[in-house]
Amino acid sequence: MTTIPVNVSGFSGTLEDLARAIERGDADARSVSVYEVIRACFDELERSGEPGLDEVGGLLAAASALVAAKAKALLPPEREADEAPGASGEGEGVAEGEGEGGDDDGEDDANSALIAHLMEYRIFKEAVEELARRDEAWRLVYLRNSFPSGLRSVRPPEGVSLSDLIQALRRVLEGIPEDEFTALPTDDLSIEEKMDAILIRLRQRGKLVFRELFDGPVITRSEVIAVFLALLELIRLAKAVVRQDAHFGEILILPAVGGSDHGV
Amino acid sequence: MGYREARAAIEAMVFASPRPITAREMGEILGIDPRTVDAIVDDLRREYDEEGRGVQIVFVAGGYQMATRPAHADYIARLNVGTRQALSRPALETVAMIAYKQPITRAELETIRGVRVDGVLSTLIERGLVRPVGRKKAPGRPVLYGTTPEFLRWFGLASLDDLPPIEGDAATLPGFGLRSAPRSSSRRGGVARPARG
Repeated sequence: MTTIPVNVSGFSGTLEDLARAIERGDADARSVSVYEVIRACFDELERSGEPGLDEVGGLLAAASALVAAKAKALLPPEREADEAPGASGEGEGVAEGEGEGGDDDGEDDANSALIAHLMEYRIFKEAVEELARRDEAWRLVYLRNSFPSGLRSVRPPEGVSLSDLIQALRRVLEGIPEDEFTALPTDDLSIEEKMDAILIRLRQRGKLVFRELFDGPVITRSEVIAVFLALLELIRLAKAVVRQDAHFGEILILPAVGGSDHGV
Repeated sequence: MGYREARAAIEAMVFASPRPITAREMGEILGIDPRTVDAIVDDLRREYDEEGRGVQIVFVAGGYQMATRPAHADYIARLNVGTRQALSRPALETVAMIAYKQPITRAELETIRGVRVDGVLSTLIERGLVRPVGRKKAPGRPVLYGTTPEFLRWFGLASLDDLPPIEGDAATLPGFGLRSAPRSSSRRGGVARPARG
């Protein structure tokens, strides 16, 4: 038992009183700093000279009661504990009374959100285990026509990285003035048409130098971008490959070996 | 149309279809009852099993599809057709949450998982398991995500109702928006499982 008075927002009394008040809900657990309260008590104890063993023990017991009360007030109530029948006799001041703590459905929003969150997490964990097993099992089953989906590896350009291509694009763009009428988007730029055009030229010539893609009568910046996108799409579809024979050499566009070009 | 002919036609359609084909589709084409189609497919499946054939007919994503058997996975892998990689744990967790709670926004996913999900989300989209399905009527009109038919194929699920069941009280949790009452499919129950051997 300790007799040191405690004064915190809206409450005065001993530590035990405070712990009980929190348990009852008379004092708001969140507005009480357990650390500061206990610190103050110990300071007080020290100031009063050589404390007796009983006093120190009493303070420790009261302090633990306070910590337990606050923890209980803040944590979500345990569902299982409600149902456990033998919970009553254990009562030890603070730890007793599941009936009081787990009171009603009016629990804090914060509390129920936390419970919901923890429950969801637990429930999903089980579902995830099952999905993981299915993922493993169905990895061994090849569904008809399912080979390409999700696992088609995009053929990397041989010796040419995407940034090389973008560098080359930038050089092309440097030589072209800003489009005159940029305010209105043009809808006559079809990437599909550009793809077709590239494939046709590839079939006629066997290979193209990157710059040649962009030598048309009138070519605007938007057109350059469209042609470039068409090229990327062709690479992605494995209908064309790009190659660079030497560092900083010309980037060559070639028809993909074995790649089908039907539909052109 | 005679039974043998219908059976052969169904076998041909299931074989040729690039996606799971439903009993109704086949029934309409052949002018027969979808339940007859189901029965004929069962017949075919039994025959494939009894003869120990290398292919089987599975029921995934609401329809029938030809598939290989797990026992031959190694041989097929050596064909160099590409093997599918197992999903990472974060990807599995994220796709599970999307499956059970769809449609769901990225922010909602992040709240549940407690971590950012954009990387995982784009992987799932790339693999075709998840897709944007609309926008939420909320500030900023965030994109809502849902699963695709490919998701069902990936996990060998007949439909979303075929997802592993979750505990009963989960449905009562705030915000645990389970999909509307399960439409029970006539073809459920073990059909979709890859047969061993």
